[in-house]
Amino acid sequence: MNRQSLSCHGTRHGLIVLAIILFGLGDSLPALSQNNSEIRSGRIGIEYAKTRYGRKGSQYKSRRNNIMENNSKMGFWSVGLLGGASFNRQERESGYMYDMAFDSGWGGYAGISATYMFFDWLSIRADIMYSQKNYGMRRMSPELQRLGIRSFYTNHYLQIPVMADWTFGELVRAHILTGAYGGVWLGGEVDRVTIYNDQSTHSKYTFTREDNRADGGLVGGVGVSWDPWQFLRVGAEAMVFYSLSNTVKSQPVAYDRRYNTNIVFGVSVRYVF
Amino acid sequence: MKKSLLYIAVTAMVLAGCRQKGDVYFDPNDPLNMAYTTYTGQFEAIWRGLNTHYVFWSEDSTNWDAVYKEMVPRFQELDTAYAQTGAIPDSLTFIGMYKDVASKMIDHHMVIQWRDVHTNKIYQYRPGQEEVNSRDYVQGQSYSLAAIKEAINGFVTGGLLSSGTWGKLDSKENFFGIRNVDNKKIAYYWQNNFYMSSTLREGEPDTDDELAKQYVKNITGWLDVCLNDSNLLGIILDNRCNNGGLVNDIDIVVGSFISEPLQYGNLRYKEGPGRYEYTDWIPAIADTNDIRNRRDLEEDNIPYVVLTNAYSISMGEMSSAAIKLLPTGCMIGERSFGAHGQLQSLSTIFHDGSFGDPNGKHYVYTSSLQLQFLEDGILEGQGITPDKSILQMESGYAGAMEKAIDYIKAY
Repeated sequence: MNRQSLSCHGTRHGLIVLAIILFGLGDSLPALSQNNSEIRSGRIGIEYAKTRYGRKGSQYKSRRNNIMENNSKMGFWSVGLLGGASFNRQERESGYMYDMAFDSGWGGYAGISATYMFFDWLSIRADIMYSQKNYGMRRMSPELQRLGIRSFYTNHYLQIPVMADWTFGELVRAHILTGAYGGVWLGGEVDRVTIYNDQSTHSKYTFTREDNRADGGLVGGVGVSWDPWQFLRVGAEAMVFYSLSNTVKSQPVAYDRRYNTNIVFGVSVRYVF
Repeated sequence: MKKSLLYIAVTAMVLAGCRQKGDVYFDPNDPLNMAYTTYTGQFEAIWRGLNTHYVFWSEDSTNWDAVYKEMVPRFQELDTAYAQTGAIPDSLTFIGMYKDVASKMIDHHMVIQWRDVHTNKIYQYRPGQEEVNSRDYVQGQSYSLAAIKEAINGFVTGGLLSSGTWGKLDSKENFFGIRNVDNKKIAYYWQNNFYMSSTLREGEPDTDDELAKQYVKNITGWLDVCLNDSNLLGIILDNRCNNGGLVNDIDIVVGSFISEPLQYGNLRYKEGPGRYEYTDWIPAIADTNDIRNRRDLEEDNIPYVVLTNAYSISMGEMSSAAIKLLPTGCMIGERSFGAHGQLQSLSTIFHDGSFGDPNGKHYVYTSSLQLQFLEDGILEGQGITPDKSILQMESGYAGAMEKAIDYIKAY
């Protein structure tokens, strides 16, 4: 079997296994709970696959061995790319403008990621990410709604999360990410409709002396990964960047709070060394 | 590992609570926020109101947080003194403290008015007026209504104007005069406020007061000569000691003399409660849409002179800046007052402008928008520099008038 056909079968089997985990796991759960040693050795999963897919189970076993080899490695690196959609909410107050509403905004993120595995169940991970932390402002009163007054802020951030990657499972591995991040607010744009401009305008955001461009906070997330080849790991993940730094510089009184909570949903591809 | 995860989860929850609570915004027009009983409470209400409603934070060098830190202990001292001995601050001390609060603020419309929380005595502080009075070219000069009226009467008796009539409607006064030059006319108009558009809309008042009727006739008479007289040599709009008024009047004093709308600047409001949250810049335009009877001065090559002094305020300056932009326009006189942020009652839409209660414990009269002139940018607190500088301290009120007539004759 040449490498190309192997990879093709590997991908197909991988998808089958992913399907088993995601949709058929309910059938195997009683068995999984019966014997932990069998779970660790992967026998239950192999037997299940054999039963379900007949002779292809042997190919599955071969792929699984590669995966288990990766999983049993300790002290190895992986680097890769990640990207997807970001969803941001800015926590702030409208003051006495009770008809002013702040909307969450969708955007995107992309980055590079490096992971170092200490143990089978714990890695440390650091990313360099570009992420958008967007939000909108609009007015709710019928009169102002009719005038269409609204603004949408697109904000560009560069951030570096450093996380502990708690890993579970064997074939398709689950990840729980916990850590902190630091970043910088690079810039932004504003799309606006104001009272005398019924057409939306687009302009670059101009920083003011009160803007706090340093960003930082907590990050947490969940994900799954799977190794289609020994050297390649693909994954899907969701992370929450919970900012603890106000986007307005600290003020002794009349504290103007504006905190971002940025949720990213995306995929990753890593090369495993 | 379970313990580690638990530890991390607890730590994360503790840290997640580290977001500070905000207290920036309160409604400065809410009576509850004017229910204070101390000098410190009064200062805080004014400070917080301006924190949100002051429209010039992007241009102003005042460190507002430092002002708070410095002034709160001083107001607390007043409260302590009152509590211990019943001492009431004297006028000099009280006004001096608000001077320390706002003397550097550039909004030249601003008036801070407050009442002593114990005696109800009323005080006012006008940082803009104080700045203007400190200008070297203003020293020793009178910019009162009486002074300019006396000067205009002198124009007639001295021959600078061939004829003229006074009008007065309520507190609004105007003067329409003609200077004949070799069978040609120079149309001169002065008013202490801009209320032309509303006056024309309302028409002649139903009254026996001849001065009130003449007030309306002066406006229509000046416009009639300017727009229809074939012997028109030039126009003089005297904005000296003009306190401002309706911004729509720019469509009359400028829009009547152009064939296309003229953008003389841009303006913006505060769209959010933060100090620096502004709307986009919106074009400030002298419009021709509602002006049916127009005369293109450029086409007829007729000069249009506007006279200004240090007490040309608000619309007295904005209209001057727009006339300065006209192809045949010329601004003669002194650098103007520097109050260009208009005042509009839009506090339900924007986070800016005047707040408080004029009859209550405090009231702050302040601009509701920033105006940026097309050529010179934001001149709030500085005033508009004329094309030809003629200072009253050197040649009185007549100096700029003579210069204007000479300019028109030589045009």
